[in-house]
Amino acid sequence: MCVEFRETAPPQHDFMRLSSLSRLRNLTIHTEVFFEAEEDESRITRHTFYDYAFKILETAPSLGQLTIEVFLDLTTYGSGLISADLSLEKLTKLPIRFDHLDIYMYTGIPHLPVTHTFMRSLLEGQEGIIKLIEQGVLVLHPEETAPTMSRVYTPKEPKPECIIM
Amino acid sequence: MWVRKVIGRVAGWSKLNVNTVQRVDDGDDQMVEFHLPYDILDHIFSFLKPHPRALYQCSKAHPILSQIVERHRFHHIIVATGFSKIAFSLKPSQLLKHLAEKPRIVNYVTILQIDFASGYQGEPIEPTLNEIASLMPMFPVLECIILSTQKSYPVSLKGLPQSFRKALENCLCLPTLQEVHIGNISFPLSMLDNHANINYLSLSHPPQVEPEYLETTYPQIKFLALGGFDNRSNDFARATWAKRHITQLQSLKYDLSCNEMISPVLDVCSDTVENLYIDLYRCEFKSSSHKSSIVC
Repeated sequence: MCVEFRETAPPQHDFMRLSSLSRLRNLTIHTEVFFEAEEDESRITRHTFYDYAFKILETAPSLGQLTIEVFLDLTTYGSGLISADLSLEKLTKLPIRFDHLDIYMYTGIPHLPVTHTFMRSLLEGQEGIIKLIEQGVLVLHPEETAPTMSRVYTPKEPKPECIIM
Repeated sequence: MWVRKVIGRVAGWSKLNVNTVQRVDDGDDQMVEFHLPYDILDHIFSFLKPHPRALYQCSKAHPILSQIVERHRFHHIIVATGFSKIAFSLKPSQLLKHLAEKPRIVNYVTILQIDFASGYQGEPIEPTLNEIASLMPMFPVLECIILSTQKSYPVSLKGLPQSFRKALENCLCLPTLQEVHIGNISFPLSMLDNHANINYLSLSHPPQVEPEYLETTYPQIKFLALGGFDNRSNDFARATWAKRHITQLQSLKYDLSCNEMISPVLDVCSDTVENLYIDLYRCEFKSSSHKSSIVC
């Protein structure tokens, strides 16, 4: 089976420039990695939205704290943890001096949880990110969801009947 | 070493003795006793609030645990008008039964969710809504109300029974109430006026913005979450509603369905917003991806 990777392109129209928010300190981006299978299941395509997130971040130079939450949707046949993606090296190229970074990643599947080791393996080769972890600036939160301001939080989760055993 | 079985017995309400049978490395079982204060167990269970299934299982493990767990298990009650897809949702009659068996539960409920599901076997939902309306005043410490629906078309609040709308308005008056979440429901925002206690509002459907009156006290929303909007929602952003209600906004959450109407909203609160939450999910990206590489 072939795995095809697609990075979602930012939309053509203008989007909100965060630089106009004079007091913005904390930004939380909820996103997902998901897969689509061809009808004959010969090929699956992986979709991520990291480029879009970086485009947004470029407009927020005064940001202090960033939280990225990634829902890894493994409900497509043929997908698995091995096909996951956490390409965040571009974060270190942004003209932002982060005080703190939190990366949350979860599958919502009890027998296929994201672990700390797994997240570190996805970050292998991303030297800038590894350095941030060692400096204590970036903290990984495997199989956790990012906190919200609300009393209610419903994380995205796979439907039980869709879970691939 | 792993815990195989937990048996609890109570020594007064101040402390819970928990005996565990543990398997040591050589394969033998060994009895180990932990002394866990009630407060600590209570604190541990509080972390399970977002996991109702886990709390339900804990409550079944032992009657003593059940009593500690129920404070957290019933903090968020979902009552449905029909067949709901939401796990652990209750019919009004089931909720009434719980309340009759354990009246203390009413003091644990801080989140009341009403799910507008299609009636059982095509029955109209109005009688069920009347039942729900009679239950709503029973919860004195509500902090959050959620009106949700799985229906693809919006539910109009104006079309619902008067008794239900009255009960909802009374709940909005509770001094403890701070959060209101509105799902795919056509909700008249004027219902929130004169309720200064409300500081968190989430909308998943363009609301009805109605004329406002000088004598109105407007709640100052501190946290606003917007989703499921479209270009037709620009009226919402341009309306005076935003100018009167979110000038002190501290936190804003939106998804990209709001992309074209979010700028006018942010213009109103650009000097106050400190926290921003952006949802980037697939539904907002249909037909907008491009191929970057192929690995076989």
